[in-house]
Amino acid sequence: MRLPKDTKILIVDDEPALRKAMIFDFKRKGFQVYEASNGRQAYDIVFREKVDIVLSDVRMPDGDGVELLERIKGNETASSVVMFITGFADLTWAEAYNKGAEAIFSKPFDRKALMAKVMSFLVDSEERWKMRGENIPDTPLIELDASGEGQVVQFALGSGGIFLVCSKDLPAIDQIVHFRVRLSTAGERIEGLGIVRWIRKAASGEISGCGIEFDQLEDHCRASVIKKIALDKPIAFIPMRN
Amino acid sequence: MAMTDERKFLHDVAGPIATSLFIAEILDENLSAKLAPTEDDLLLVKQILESLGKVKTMLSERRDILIAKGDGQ
Repeated sequence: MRLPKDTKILIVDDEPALRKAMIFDFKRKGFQVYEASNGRQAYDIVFREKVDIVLSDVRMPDGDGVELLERIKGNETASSVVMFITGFADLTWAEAYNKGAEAIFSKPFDRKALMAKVMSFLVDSEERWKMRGENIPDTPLIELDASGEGQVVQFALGSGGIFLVCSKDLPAIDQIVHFRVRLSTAGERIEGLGIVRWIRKAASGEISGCGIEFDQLEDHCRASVIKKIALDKPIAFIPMRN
Repeated sequence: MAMTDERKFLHDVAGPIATSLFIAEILDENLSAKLAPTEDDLLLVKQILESLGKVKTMLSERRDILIAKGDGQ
């Protein structure tokens, strides 16, 4: 596990009071904290300081968060995790994940949830997605059988979660769900608990589905999922198109 | 209020509320950690947090309604 003192975090927001408060909070936890008031300033700091985690507002004068994200993800030498803290309707969550954001928080956001999310990136995926044996009642199951030959692909793996086609009722955003994707007739499957981060209702040329952030992965699939993510290097959650 | 105006309003008001809530939570933690915080101080901060929490809920509910109507996320 990486320690906060070894982790560089960059806070990007044009609202000085919020920026300063966040700096105070992360410094208190021991992080190395940097700040920027716009995307362009932030981009320079990301590469100069080799920042690990970027927490950025979306709409800012002189270089917005989307442009910053695109520039970071477009540069192969950058490995920063980018999380958005956004006001209303800057862009849809599916769009943000599609561009490579690892997490999105709507203002006013849950401060403890933000800190927990940042801390989760300090542990490796094996530890982060380990089953914790909690009993979570009333967790709906989203199940897919993708084992048939020639079958239309019904899911896509992202670096932090999975997109699943939902032919029935779509779950709600932020709902905890149990997911199970059958990959082969031999019983190979991806299975675990996750949180629904975005949904897409069927529109012209699209299919209904949801983006689920991994919370826990079953022991039988965790290592293989992590290996595939390491090989494919996908974006966080894939808004799959037809 | 037209829907796009409301969207802008919700966006604009979300920032200061986020800031106030964030700072009030830190203040609450700092006060609670002190050896001898006065009951009045603690109560006042709790009331600030409670009020801001209500505004946050109202904002979230309104945001959900607009999203359900198909006006962004």
